[in-house]
Amino acid sequence: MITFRLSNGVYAYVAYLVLMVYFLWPGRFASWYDYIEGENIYDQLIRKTTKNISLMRNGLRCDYSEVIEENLSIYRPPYTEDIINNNVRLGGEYYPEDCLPSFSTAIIVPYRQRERQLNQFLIYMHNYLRRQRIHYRIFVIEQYDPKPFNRAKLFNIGALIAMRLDYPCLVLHDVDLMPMNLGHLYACSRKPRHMCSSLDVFRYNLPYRELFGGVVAIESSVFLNINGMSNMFSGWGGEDDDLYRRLQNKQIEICRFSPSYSQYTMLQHRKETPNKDRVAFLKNGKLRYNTDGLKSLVYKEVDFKLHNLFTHVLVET
Amino acid sequence: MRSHYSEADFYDYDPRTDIDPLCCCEFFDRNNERSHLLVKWCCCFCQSASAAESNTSCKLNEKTVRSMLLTFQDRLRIPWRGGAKQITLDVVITLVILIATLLMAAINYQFCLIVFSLMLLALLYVKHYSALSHTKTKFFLVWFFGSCVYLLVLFELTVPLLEILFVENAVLVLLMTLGFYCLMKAKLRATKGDLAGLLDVNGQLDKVPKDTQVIMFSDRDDSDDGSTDADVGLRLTCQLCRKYVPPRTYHCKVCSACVVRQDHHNVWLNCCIGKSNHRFYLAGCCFTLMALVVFANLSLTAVCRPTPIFTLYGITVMMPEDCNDIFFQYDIALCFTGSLYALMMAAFITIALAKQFWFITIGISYDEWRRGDHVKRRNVFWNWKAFCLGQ
Repeated sequence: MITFRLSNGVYAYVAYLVLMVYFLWPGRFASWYDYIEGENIYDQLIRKTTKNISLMRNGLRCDYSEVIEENLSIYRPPYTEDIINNNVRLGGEYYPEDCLPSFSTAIIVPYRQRERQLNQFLIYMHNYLRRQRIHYRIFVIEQYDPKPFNRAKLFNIGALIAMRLDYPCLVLHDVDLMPMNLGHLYACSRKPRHMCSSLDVFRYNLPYRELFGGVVAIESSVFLNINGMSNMFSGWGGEDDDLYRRLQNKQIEICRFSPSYSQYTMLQHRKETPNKDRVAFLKNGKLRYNTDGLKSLVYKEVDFKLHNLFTHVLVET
Repeated sequence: MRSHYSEADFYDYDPRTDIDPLCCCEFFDRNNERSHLLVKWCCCFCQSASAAESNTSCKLNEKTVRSMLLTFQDRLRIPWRGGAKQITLDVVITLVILIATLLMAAINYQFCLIVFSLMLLALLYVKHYSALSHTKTKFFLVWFFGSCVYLLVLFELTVPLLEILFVENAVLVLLMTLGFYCLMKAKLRATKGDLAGLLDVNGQLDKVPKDTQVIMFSDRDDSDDGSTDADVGLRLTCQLCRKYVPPRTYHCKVCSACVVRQDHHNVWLNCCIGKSNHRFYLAGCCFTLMALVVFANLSLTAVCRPTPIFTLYGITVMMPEDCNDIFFQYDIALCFTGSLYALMMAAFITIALAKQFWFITIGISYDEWRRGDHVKRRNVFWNWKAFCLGQ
């Protein structure tokens, strides 16, 4: 009699425990991740500028401690509505005139048929970046052919153009992502930095630690070292993970800033069709790290325009 | 809807007392013969085939067809410990309707509105009809627990969990476990509340053993109205049960039993809520309500665009801000409609809890209020203290 009761209870407890293990398995949920606190952000940044900026002798160097310390949230009107006091130079370049900036950054935006997002992006980013008092230039790389969108290849093209112009820092930026807090300086840190680790469509959580997409800040020398990004990922998905694995292959770690600095918002748009081959490309990507990338980049530059708010590069892939 | 075999409801087979217990696939069929789920299936067909051959008109007669259908329904069972357990058709139909309805609601916006409106009206109508006819049905019990299981499976399989923190999911699982435990406990304790062992009206005082007399004495002392029964000979009698009952005991027509301090018959749990299980019922409702609200919040903020409200112990609490384009993807729409369904359930439970809190505060039960019975009442503090201490 006791045996029956005991075994009956044991069955229920075992079933309950199996369910609990499944329900509470940590790998199924958002990850905690290491990040750099606000007071350590400035020390992590690499102070390097282009030659023409370095040759200016204005004396005073720009102070960034106040910007980082206050970390204002400026994703709101009027910063999202119109350019305030437009002093952006032709080609989307800006540097402050009253002090000497410590950072030069090329912001590379792959683009095709997203006019509304691009317009919002340029208005807000110029208002945002000028308040950071850095030297920057926005490059919009437009794919000018009906092939599937190849985001990574456009980054490679933009990086080549920016490196030709001697920019030491590259920010690989999606056109539909906007930073919400001013303290996140658009400059490179000692390790490649995943900037949008607190994205609103992901409930401000990081889905998995190896996520390295959206907005990435990487030094030009590091980008050259890993042979850029793969040119084979047409369509949506996979090229970010491939970039992360290239860095791992070279034993280069990544870093992230604190969630209060890394909050980004995504503009609305329809979702893209995922690329079915991306899993296979990711699996055999290790074989092509040294051959597929900047070294094998083949494209045709259709046009190079200097618009008021950005440098427009039209390419055929 | 009552099962065909009312005798089966009273069959209390106990595998521990049987010399030769049933294995998990065996059962007693409608002729009280020992049967196995897998054996005799061919014999059934053989019997039907032979009956068909013997008939000169080459048609299965009506009696054989009815016999086949009854045998099929009798064999609709799942293997269970101590004998295969029968799945009644009303349980199966309820689950099928529930799942089909919720899957249909996620097709597009118009379907969502139409399906939820019709579901609401249908549930209210069935509840009203069962209240009038005093029928004991498992429909609401299966619907409620089926809904909870569906939402739990939906959350763990379909909601984008990579956007949800481990702690948030743990809170949800904990609340759901507590709610399920309390409601199950309330249902189990409902049977203890029946007064099957009380003294019969026709019984003589001389023949009653002393143990029963002591129980009667202690019952009277437990009651808060015990002091008013100065007359020793005065006793309350239930004419339907033909038994003496303690004060504030009421007869439930659905359960066919007297329940001590009955509050109401709960169709969702298919049992009476009385003195023995009222606190578990209330705790179960609170936990289930919290679990449903947490589920809806996590699901909606995962599939819609969230906006942070405040941070509590490092966990950011968010509210959904923008739910456009939710029906563009079917699995996202499933999460959305599941969240709406959870909020509907939460609204119903909130109404039930508000009624419970009010009646506890004024110190009477729902049935007493509905009958207009006079009950000696005291202040609010004393009423809640009496409820919490089970007096």
